[in-house]
Amino acid sequence: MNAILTHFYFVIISVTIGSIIAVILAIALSRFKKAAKYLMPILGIFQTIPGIVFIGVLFIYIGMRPETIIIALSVYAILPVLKNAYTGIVTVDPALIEAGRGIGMNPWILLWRVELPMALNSIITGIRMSTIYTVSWAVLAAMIGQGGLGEFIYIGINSNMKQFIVMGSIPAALMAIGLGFLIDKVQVKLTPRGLRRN
Amino acid sequence: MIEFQHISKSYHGKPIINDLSFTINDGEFIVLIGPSGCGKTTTLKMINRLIPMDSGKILIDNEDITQKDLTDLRTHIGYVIQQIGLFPNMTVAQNISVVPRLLKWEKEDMDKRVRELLEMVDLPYEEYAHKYPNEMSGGQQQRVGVLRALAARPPVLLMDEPFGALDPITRDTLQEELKDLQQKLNITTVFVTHDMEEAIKLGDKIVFMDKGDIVQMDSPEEMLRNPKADIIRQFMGKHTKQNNTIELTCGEIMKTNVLKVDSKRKVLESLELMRSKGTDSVVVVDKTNTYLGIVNIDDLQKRGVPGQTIENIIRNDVITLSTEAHAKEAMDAIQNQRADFVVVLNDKQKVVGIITKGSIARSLSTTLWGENNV
Ligand SMILES: Nc1ncnc2c1ncn2[C@@H]1O[C@H](COP(=O)(O)OP(=O)(O)O)[C@@H](O)[C@H]1O
Ligand SMILES: [Mg+2]
Repeated sequence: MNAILTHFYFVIISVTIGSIIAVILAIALSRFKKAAKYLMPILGIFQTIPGIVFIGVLFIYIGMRPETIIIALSVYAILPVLKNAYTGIVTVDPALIEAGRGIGMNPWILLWRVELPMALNSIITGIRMSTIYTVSWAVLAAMIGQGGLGEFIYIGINSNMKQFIVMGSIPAALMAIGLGFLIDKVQVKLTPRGLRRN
Repeated sequence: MIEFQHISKSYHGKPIINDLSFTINDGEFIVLIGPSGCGKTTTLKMINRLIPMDSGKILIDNEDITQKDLTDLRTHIGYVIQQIGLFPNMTVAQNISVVPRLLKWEKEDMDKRVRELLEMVDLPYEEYAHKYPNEMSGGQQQRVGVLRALAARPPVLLMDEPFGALDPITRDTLQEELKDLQQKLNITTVFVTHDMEEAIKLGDKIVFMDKGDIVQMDSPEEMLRNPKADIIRQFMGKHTKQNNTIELTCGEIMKTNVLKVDSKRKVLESLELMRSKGTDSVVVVDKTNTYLGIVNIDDLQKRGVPGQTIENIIRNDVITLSTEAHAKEAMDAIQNQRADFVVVLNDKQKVVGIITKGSIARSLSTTLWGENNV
């Protein structure tokens, strides 16, 4: 039970941090679309660094602490949200931007009342993807002794006892499905009727 | 009063607007017209500083617009675009309240204003205030687009081909409404179009532009009587005949691009079609294109049963005329019986066209012009 909670906290905290950073980055990049064209692929490279390597490097600097895991997972959580949020913001119909500017919205108001609400659906889709990935990456926490469902999996692998592996992976799978479902609900709730496809 | 003083603009060294100077008086309805790419939109957008000019000055009530705070300038100038640009994430009421909110009006004042405005264009508050743009026809959406522009009682209204994407019937209705509103509110209006018929119908003055220059600025009557350049003549005389209006037939003045639906179409399907075409009513025909009546969007929304065909809500109170009938009959129907349009049928009762106020204005203008230029 404890392991499930620890795992859950890692996921929630990392996805929250990652998403906030991602949305801020997406807003910033959407103001500089030319730079974004080059920056996005570079950020993509981060994603390709294997989790073990990344946690290993952080471990050297930060040590055997939960922060190591949180930082690593947050970084991985950023990209899916960033990609979706950026696309969501830059694909807002230019006519809306023009109308908004024309009637006196300044860039901040335009962002808050038009661009972000229009991109919200896409942002939540990104958060959903991140959450589901993070549930599985959080297994790596056990690698540096920070608990979570990964612990059972490692024990299982090391001792070759299948039931331990199952004890770790089934709750993780359920967690991924449950959180995905929850986020879908939130998404429907937050989408105004005017943006729903009937 | 809006004064253009020696305004020039070029893009990448290519001149787009050449030393433009003209004055628009308070309460005047000015129509900018000219061939595509002549600089109408550029001229319009320089007034609310969406496009900066290279040189010259624009004064509104003797104040240089570049000296004003940008938000202050724009919240006091209504702006309507062809793509409508209503915010899909906001209800009608929220869309209309955007500028009042920017100006920090009290909540009650905003509500009151929304009610007042919706009433002015016959969109009942109870029914429409909480609808989203995608729940309305194109015509209804652009009505709201106009209301949004008028919400904070701006002294100036800018419109860039606002009715260009609407079907002829809806366009005519909105033109009428706009003209009424504009006169009632005495709002100084600059309206861009490439449709001479629309310009004649709406404008107190028409500014004809070509390649970044003003070719002629005159009242519609004067421009019709004495067009100063061939290009203006071409614009007006696309359908010129030496006919007298009295002798014109309905077949000659009708528009032939009629939006029709089959009576077997389902209610929702038809609503969808009307929304996508931005129309408020369509002509209903059977498989053989024989006229059955019309349906309008209000009936569809109120009386249409999803899943059923539109047969039960067809209206038959629209006037129909044959192609051979005198144009005068159509005019009488529209002027005296306040019809929005009449449907033109051939001798086999097939739909061949419609006549709106606009088609009449056009035929009048071409005959008027024709007399002067034989
Ligand atoms: N951002 C831009 N960059 C370069 N050329 C432009 C730009 N905007 C408009 N133009 C050019 O300026 C001319 C006038 O455009 P516009 O005012 O939109 O014409 P209109 O509204 O009369 O059709 C056109 O030739 C158009 O191609
Ligand atoms: Mg234009």
